[in-house]
Amino acid sequence: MKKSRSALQGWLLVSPLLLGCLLFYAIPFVLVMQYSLSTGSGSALYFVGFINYQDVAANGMFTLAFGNTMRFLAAALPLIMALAYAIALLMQKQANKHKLLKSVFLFPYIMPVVGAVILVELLFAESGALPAFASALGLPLVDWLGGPAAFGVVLLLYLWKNTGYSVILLLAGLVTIPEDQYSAADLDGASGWQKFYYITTPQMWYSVFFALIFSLINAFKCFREIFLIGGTHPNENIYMLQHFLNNSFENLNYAKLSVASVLLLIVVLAVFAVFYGFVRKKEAFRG
Amino acid sequence: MKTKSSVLASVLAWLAAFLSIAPFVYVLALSFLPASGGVTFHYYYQVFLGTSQYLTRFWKSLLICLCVVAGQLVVSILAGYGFAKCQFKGKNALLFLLMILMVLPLQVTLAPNYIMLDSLGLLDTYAALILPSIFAPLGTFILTQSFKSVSEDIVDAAKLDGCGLFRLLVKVVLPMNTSGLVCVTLLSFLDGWNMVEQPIAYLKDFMRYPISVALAYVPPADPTLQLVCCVLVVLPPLFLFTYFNRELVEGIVLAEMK
Repeated sequence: MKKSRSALQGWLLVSPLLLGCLLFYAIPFVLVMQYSLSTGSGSALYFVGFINYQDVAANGMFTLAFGNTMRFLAAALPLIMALAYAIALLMQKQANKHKLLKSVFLFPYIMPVVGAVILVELLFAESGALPAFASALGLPLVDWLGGPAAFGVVLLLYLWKNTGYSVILLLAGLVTIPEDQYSAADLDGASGWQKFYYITTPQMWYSVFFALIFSLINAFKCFREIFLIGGTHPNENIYMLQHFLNNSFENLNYAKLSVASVLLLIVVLAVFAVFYGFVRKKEAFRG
Repeated sequence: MKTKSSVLASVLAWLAAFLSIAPFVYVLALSFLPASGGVTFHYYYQVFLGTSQYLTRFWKSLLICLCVVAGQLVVSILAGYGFAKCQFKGKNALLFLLMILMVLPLQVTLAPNYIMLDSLGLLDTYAALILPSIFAPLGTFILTQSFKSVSEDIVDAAKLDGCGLFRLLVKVVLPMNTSGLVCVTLLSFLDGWNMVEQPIAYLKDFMRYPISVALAYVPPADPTLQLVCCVLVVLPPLFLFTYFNRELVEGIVLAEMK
């Protein structure tokens, strides 16, 4: 009796969230799937199979945007994980000493979009600080925002803004590892690398997983800065899916929009599934 | 005992700290230094007192943000408590689905949201910005994890004393979980304050654009004026961060569900 009341209460409590998610995510997704397979609009929808997908796949702008987005993720995620892990390991032993530092690392995360965009322009635009500095040193001029270097600039912006977030997630995992395991290893004469491999790594899978997930989430958030830095038609090195979507919004091409959403959904789910499967396997082995 | 590696660690940590803060100082310093040379408060006067266009947009954006934060808090407090303290079938499956939803970027959900807002007739209104953000799942995750730490004994004792659910939440559970609550407030505030994709996609009227995206989308012609506006936009998150950075650090970690 009591159990069923708790269940009812549970459903009641989560129902606002579920209704909202149903209304704004679940139901519209079904519609998007339908749009992606149809032509026309409103009540005059005709099923056309995968023609829209073929169209979008043959669209040069889409493949460019999709390729750049994947290239960005492939470069950004390993970089941020390596950087954040290194910082977290450095801070592991001094987590209490550097309580203030932990919040300081989060500081860039609060920089509003407009601030980040202005900052990039102040530093990297033709009249910015970096080109001025380089020419003072007699170095050759690089077009930071107009050429291939733009990709590196947005990568740098992403790392600057989001590394602190991942450091905090990783540190939270590191501080749960008992100190005496390291002392015992020291007694046995284990090297730093051995300690990392045999003690730290196996106990960190969950934290690494979540740091990776949030790095992924934050990477997609970073596209808003990239979008604003580049304008609607940036140079082709930083033409991301966000630009493609925005341009499709401008001429309200539902079919294109829907196909792009569905394809991106599939990619994100696939990445998530790989990460999740991996961490489940590692944790099952451990526990 | 100071070893070589701990000195190295300190140096690197301070270097990272410097890199985190320096850009803020740089922007602030430049906002007093116009291209024409000298130091001036003229642009601050112009933004804060001379014209009302920036401040009006600022307050409007703040209001939008407060609606998002308030809605997100209510939804995630209820759902968080439901997930943390009630037993029901399908709970774990739901949490898993929510985790997937959390990972989905705006680029995926923008078009579905647009279609729904269109059929609800909400396009080109502030509600288009507010409603979908209220149901973002991150807050629920953080609060579910946070509420789990409230011991069953306390909940049972309160119930025995005839405490209803609403009073239990307000008087017992919420005061014990301030870190989680503050963290949800801050994160959803940041998300609301930094909306870019949604206004561009859902709103036609540029006058309705929140300040952060408006300034970046159509920047003021004068670069120093632009910087002063930027300082104005940094103020609310900076204020929140200064007061609540400890809670933020504690709360972010709560999203690590096991």
